[in-house]
Amino acid sequence: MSTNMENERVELLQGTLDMLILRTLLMGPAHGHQIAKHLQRTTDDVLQVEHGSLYPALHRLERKGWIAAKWEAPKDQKREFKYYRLTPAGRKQLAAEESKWARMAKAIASVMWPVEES
Amino acid sequence: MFDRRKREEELERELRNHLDLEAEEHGGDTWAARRALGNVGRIQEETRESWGYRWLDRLAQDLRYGVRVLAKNRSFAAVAIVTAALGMGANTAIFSVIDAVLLHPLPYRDADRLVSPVAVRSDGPLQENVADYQYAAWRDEAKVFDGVAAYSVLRYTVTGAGDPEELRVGIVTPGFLRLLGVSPAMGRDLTAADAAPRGGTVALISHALWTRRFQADPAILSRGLTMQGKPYTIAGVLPRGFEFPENLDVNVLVAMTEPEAQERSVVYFYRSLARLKPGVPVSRAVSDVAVIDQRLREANPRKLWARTDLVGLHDRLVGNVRPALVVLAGAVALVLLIVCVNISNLLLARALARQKEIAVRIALGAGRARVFRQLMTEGLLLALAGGIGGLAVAVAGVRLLRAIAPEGVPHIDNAHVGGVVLAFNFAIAVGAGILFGLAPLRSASRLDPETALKQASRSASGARQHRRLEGLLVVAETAFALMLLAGAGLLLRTFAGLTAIAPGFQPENVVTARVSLPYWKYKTPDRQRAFVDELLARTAGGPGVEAAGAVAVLPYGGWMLKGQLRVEGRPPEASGADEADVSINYTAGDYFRAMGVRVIEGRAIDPSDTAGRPPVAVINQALANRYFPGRSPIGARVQLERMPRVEVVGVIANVKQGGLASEAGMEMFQAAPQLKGFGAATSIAVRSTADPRVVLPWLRAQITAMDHDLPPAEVETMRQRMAALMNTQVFVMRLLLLFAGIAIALAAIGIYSVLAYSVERRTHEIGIRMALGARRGHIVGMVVGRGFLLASAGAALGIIGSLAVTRYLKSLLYGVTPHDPVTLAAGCAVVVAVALVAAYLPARKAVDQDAAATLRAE
Repeated sequence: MSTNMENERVELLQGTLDMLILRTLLMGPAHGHQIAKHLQRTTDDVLQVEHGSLYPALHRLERKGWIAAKWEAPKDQKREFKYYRLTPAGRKQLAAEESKWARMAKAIASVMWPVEES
Repeated sequence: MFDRRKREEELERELRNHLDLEAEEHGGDTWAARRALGNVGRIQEETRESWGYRWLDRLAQDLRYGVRVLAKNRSFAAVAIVTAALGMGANTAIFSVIDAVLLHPLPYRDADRLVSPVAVRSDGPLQENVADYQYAAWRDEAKVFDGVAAYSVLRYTVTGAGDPEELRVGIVTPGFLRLLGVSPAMGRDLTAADAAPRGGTVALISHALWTRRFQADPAILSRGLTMQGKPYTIAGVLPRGFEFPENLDVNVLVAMTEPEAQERSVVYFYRSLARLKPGVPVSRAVSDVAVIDQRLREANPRKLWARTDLVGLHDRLVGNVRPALVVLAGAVALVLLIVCVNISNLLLARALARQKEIAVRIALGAGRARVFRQLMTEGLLLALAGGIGGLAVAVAGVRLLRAIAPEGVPHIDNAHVGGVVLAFNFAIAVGAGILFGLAPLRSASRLDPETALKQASRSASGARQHRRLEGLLVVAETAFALMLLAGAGLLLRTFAGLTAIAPGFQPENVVTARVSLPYWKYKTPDRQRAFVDELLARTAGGPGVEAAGAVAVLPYGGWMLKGQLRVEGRPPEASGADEADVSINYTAGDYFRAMGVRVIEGRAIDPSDTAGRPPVAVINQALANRYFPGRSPIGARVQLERMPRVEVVGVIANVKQGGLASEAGMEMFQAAPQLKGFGAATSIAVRSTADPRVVLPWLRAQITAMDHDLPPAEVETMRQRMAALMNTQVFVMRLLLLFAGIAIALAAIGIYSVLAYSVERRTHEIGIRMALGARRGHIVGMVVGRGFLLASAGAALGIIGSLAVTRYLKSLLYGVTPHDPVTLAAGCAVVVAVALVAAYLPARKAVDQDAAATLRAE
């Protein structure tokens, strides 16, 4: 998908990938591919998350202790996947990032679309 | 590392899973899946970075690169590693000796609480013996001690099964082993029931004696031991590695009765040991003992008493070798510093040659830190390789040190490469590695990639700072070399001084033998005298023998009986300490002629002074000066306590009994045949023109032939006896000379390589100068001049350094001060001369090159 660049697609802002991953895991444990698909689907393919950049990010988050990983097989399968889940520290981090992001989005919006008093 | 491999595998599995699932979505199109995922190699690389192993990867890379660089410069690497190995090996070897001798605790329980009482007189050396009642008072009254013990060491002759031999026997109070915290490995400890006033007949034997003489017989406790012709029972065997708290090989312990506190007419003197109670500082114990001493002094006002000091047992046993070892440690450290400087210099030169490479790497975005790390890694690599080589050098070095060390260095046989010593070796390798890297690092840190790259291929003038650094290193190593040379020079002069001391006799061609005649076989002085007379008679016919005689105590022969001298017609002097300081010696046969003692006035005692003739004496100059100042003592009648009255017939030169450099004491000789009731003079001196290699075994054979039961006599030349007195100085001198030699060779190599390199860099410039008509002499002068300048600066610094450190040599020196200007000047001369030679070679090379060819070389 990164080969045919489409104009509507936007590059992920620096540092937001971590937040998106944490947010995704809030819904429950998932492995790398599931996270990638989820991000892709929920943003209607607008956000260009290169799957490859997901893994360094996952390992970085694991090292920071925000997520934990475990090899597990889904119920009806033999194959084991590396499932990531949110840790309490990760939840806290997510909340912090979220509020930061909200403030920033609001600030940007107020510059871009000033509310005209009528 | 395992952890890491597991992570790698897991990451691979994780990515494979992803690819598989993605491919399923794309209907089995694995290529589409790969495109979606991106560059797997890069993902792995980036993920790895998040693991924090990055530094390890970098280190591996640096190491690989370093090995490649060194492999490409084999001769450079070889020189660097070999010199580093020598430097570190020497340090490790000396350290292993220091570890064994100075740092290891003594093999006793809580050995740091053991102290030795010593008597300190304001005017004299330490006296380690204490009076029996003084010891007993400490034992009964001192509250600072957990216990005290007294002992003395005697030589006993062991006979019975096996060859007769002389062993050192410790006569100890029954609590001796308990005080040390040692118990026998077999059998039982000595008790009060085993004790007798001069030693009981129940013995503990050493592990060594048990294995050697009794073949480790497990039934040893039922066997006996014959010493001095008396039967002893064996109560037990001491543990292996037990050490008597003296620097002596003591193989048997017997118990003596605890001395009584009551003062008697005969006072015995013993060595003693005390164990401080936990937490009691030495200073408090000293003042406690002083209080007890004071009470004793008041009870016996007639006695002149010295102050008692308590010396840590460890200090007392190793104190005399500490200065020598400290000096050697300092010397090897200097050698290692020089090695570091030299290698640093080589690396610096190479860093300059690689300036462009480094500039390119920095320009291409390599972080400076990364480049520094690379340079450091190379230095460390060299140092570690040197360290490993150094271990081999150290093993050989320890063996050498043990072989050439003077006798009586305690525990030196325990010195080996292992444990702490290995850690030390590793530590100095790392330290040296950092030192190696520093200079090139400094030069690289100044590097501006732009100018470095802009410079023409011949980067001649840009290296001024570099040249200064290089010069500094050469100056430093020259200074270090001079310091070592100064130390070696001072000891050389000490050696020369000691050798040149007029000993008062002529030691050349004199062979001596110390015979010990066991009193249980030679019970009366007459029996002993008969033995000596016969030995002298036999000796007279020996190879090349000119004269033979016997004496009680040979020069430097040890302890002598002392007494008060009374001169007839002169009132006895008021009681004073030095009244008792006349040493009593006696001779038989033609001793004075055999020893070549210089007669100053009158005559010496000779074989004509037999028992029936008027008794005579010969006094030494010190005695003559003290008792007969300004007049001739010949004909004076004198008498020593409990000795017959004798007539002085001669004055002889002083012999410094206490050692080569000691003050001569007063000494009086009498004729042994005229002394009734005194033991025989059993040290033999033989003057012979024959080769000592013939005379020594011949004399030994004569003694054995006369009595097979005698322990082997100590037979050696007088020169050997005297050489033994200088053992420590000679040992330190030899090693310092060796180190100084290495140092000066390294410094010369340093100067040579710096100048050779600078000549090489300036080939072009020199070519132009020569083409323009510069004279050869001028060019040579230019190069040699720089060498001279560097060496002189080094010498100046070295003088300052020497003045600062040679005082540590003080206790080893004789006849020369630590700041001896002649030695320093000679050292400077040697350093500068070597530097000039080292500088001349590259200078020759510079002017010998073909000017036209060098100009074309660019």
